[in-house]
Amino acid sequence: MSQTPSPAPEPSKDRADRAARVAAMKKAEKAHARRRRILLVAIPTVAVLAVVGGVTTVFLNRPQPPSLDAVKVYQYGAGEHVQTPVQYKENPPVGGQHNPVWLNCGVYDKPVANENAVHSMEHGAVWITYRPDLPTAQVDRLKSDVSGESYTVLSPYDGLPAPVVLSAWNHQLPVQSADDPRIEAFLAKYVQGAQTPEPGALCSNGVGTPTG
Amino acid sequence: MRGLTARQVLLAVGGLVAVLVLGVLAGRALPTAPGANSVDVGFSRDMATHHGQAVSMSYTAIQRAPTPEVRQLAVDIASTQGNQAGRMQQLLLSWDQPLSSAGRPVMGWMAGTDLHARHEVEQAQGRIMPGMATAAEMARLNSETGEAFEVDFLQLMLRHHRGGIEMAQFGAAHATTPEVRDLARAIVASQEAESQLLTSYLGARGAAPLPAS
Repeated sequence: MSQTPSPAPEPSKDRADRAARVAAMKKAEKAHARRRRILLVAIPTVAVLAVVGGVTTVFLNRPQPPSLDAVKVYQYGAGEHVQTPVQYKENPPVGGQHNPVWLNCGVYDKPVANENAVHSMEHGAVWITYRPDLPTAQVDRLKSDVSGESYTVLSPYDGLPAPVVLSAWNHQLPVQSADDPRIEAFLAKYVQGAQTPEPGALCSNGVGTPTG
Repeated sequence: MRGLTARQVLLAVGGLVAVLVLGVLAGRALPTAPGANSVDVGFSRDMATHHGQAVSMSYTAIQRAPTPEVRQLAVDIASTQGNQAGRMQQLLLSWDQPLSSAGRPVMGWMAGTDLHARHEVEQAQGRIMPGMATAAEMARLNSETGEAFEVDFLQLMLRHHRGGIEMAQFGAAHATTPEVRDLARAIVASQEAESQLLTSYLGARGAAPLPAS
């Protein structure tokens, strides 16, 4: 059986061109799809990272309250009343035996008796002491800090280990200046704070006539 | 994109509604504490301080007033306001807020009101809150005896009550927690009644109330 061999299909130049064009188009389409896929993943990823990064930056840069880590803590028990003078270990005292009569809270221009002031701290007062030679502007700054705070005592004190010393019952912090931001933090934490052995007891109707 | 079937739409909407309902329920169940700048916190802190001075003056009157009727009124004021101050301080503790006003302007929670404008003028003159006695007035009261003391006590306490009532009226109207609103209303009621008594006691002693500060 003989057959006339059909001519082998000879790819014409046109067909070859079309095939190449189709291949190129397919390739372009594939690349386009790939780009789309990458963008679909990349845009949300970048957006989420940007938000997370922004929130983290704001969170890390938020204003930090000044640290009170330097506050020294003591362990005096409350309620020891004595009528005699007391030799205190700390300068100024932070707790321990004290006079049955507490010091009236407020601003004093002259030194006050330790034995009365310790009793006021037992009632929740913060006692701010300063060296008698502290510049007037610094003293005024301290006066404005305690203005409106009914459970504070401000008084000069001879022989302080620092220009200003902040004391509350069993807690103390020396600072070098009335501008130290820890003063405000100390007041916020310790004026009638959790350390107070007798919360609610008065810081008036005791002894002393504050000038402010 | 393939069209969504009605079933899928229903599921999606149902899910959304369920999440919303759960969110609202969770929000109601979780306790929300008033913030540091709220009326509730500012009122509780400042009114506790304001009360503190009335308690202090009343204890002095209990020890020093010559007539039993004034001593009795002083016991009433000291016990009522001592208890109210303790309740306000307990609220502050439960909201994790300091009792100290350090870093927060006294009376700032009433900023923008007439009383606050008057307060700012008086604060510069040493009166830390409306109606409160200055340090000089407290020193004077603590140095007096007899009828002079009694009249001064009645006058200072009446002015103290007037300032306190204005603060409490604002607190009753603007606080968000029922505890503070109820307490503020109770303060208004008892101090208005006591103000009448203080006024009549002053009249009986031939004295007049202090001019409004």
